[in-house]
Amino acid sequence: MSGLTIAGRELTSRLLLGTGGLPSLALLEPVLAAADPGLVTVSVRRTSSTREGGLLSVLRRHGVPLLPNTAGCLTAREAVLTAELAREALETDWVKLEVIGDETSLLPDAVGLLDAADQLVRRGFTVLPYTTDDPVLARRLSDVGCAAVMPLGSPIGSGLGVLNPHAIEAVRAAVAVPVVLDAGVGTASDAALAMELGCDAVLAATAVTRADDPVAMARALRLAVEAGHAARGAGRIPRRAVARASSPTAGRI
Amino acid sequence: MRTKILGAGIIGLSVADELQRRGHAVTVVDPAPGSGASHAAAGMLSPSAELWHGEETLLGLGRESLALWPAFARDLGVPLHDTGTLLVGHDAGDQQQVARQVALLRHHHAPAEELDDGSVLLPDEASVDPRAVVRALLARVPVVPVDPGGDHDVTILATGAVLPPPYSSMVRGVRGEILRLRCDDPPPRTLRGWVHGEPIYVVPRADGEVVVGATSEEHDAAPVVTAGGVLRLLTAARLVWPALDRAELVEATARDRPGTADNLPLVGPVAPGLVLAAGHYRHGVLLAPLTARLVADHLETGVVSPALDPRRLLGGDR
Repeated sequence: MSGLTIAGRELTSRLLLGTGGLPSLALLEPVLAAADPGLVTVSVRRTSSTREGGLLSVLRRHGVPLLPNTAGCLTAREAVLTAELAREALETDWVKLEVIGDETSLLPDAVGLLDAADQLVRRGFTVLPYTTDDPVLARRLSDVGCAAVMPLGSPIGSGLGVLNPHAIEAVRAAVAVPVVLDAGVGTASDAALAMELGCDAVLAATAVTRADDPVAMARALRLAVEAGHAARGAGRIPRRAVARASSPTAGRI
Repeated sequence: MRTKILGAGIIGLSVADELQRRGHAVTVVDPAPGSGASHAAAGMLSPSAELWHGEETLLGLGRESLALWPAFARDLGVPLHDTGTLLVGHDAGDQQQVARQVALLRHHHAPAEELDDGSVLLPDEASVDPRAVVRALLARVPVVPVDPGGDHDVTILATGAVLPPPYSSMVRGVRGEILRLRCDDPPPRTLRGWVHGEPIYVVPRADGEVVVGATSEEHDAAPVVTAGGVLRLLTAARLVWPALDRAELVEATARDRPGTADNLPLVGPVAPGLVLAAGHYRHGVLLAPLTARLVADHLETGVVSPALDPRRLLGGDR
């Protein structure tokens, strides 16, 4: 167990994984084994493949908990409908809520997001919203009853890492619910940094699925999340403007 | 040897043709020959553009089969469009994707020429009209609509995306939507690349037909052409070849590609007297002549290519 609890459920790991874009289905099981994710997000559409031999059947056989997302939804209405479909199809009331503002930047639509989060909480969903790195919006999402907030480090699929570490720290300070860094992770150091900033977990998708070697990157991210979390708990030294010797200087010859 | 082939797509027919040529008796069964994935396929013979990290085996197979195509096409009397493939990226992120593909091709010593405008020529690639290939094969290989029974030494399953139990879960349908247009200013060679992160290709034929594809989605439902799919394809295709704006939209088709877990086809035995030639995913046209040889060689000598052996996906609870 990871010690991370969201909405009363303890996750087995602080690394969450998205599986979209994996070059082949045969990579899914070794990637899951290497990442050991606490949750796996799946995109749910009106018609998704549930048949034997497809993505969902492999995930179900593996037994990792699924977190349906509303990827691609452009309005609150569309996102709420998609969440309802996911609840039917996957038999979970958890949802990673995405309401995208425009298809170029793929940034969250703050107004639609808050509206959809409020509706879904009222309908009994456990809502984990993909949000900007805005601490005020994070607090508003927490206020309407979201079980966690998922601020972006940088745009989806960009691999630019955590572009505004101060904002992620501010989000951390603004809410009591778990903070999951979502979007922007490109490599292990990005995930470690997010954890050092106080995030409770990291979600990675493209960083793994489009890496040259997805299995190796899955392992690297698992280790990075663990390392960053441990470092956060260890308490880093302050950054000093000048050097300070680590060995005693008294008694030199 | 008396053989029965179930499925008259480009794979089943190519296998039948090769077996006939080698003097074996062939019965091909299909109620609707050439109506599956072969009917939708663009016919790109494009192993380099298809290459991805970890899929070097497929590159090797593709190049091996590409080398067989000139003789295969000549023998069938079907023109081969051998002017190469141009890799293009639309926005800055797409151009980074092109650069990544070139680096991968260089690593595998596949030819790729960077041009002044940022595009990349893959000079040894080609394309062929799969419908013309199927027509030419059907002129040589008789097909019956229902299984006439009778004794056979071996049955070859070439039913693409739909295999009978207990093999049904070895392939899954991956829906592709594809468009055919008629254009008086077609590109001189196949264009492949990315537009806003999504893959696109534009394949010209000698007669002015241009094939644009393809979407890729996994569905339980029957493959149909969707408004969103057509919109995405046309938007992207017009950005890589603006003259398509005035092209006549002739046809929109959707079919399921026969996808396997590792993206490699299933070619070889699964049970005594039962051989698979299926699961060719995005590569059925390219790999048709090689598959035909591999199946015929297997029947005559017992040899099986380990990477394609269907038994690699049996076992476990797949």
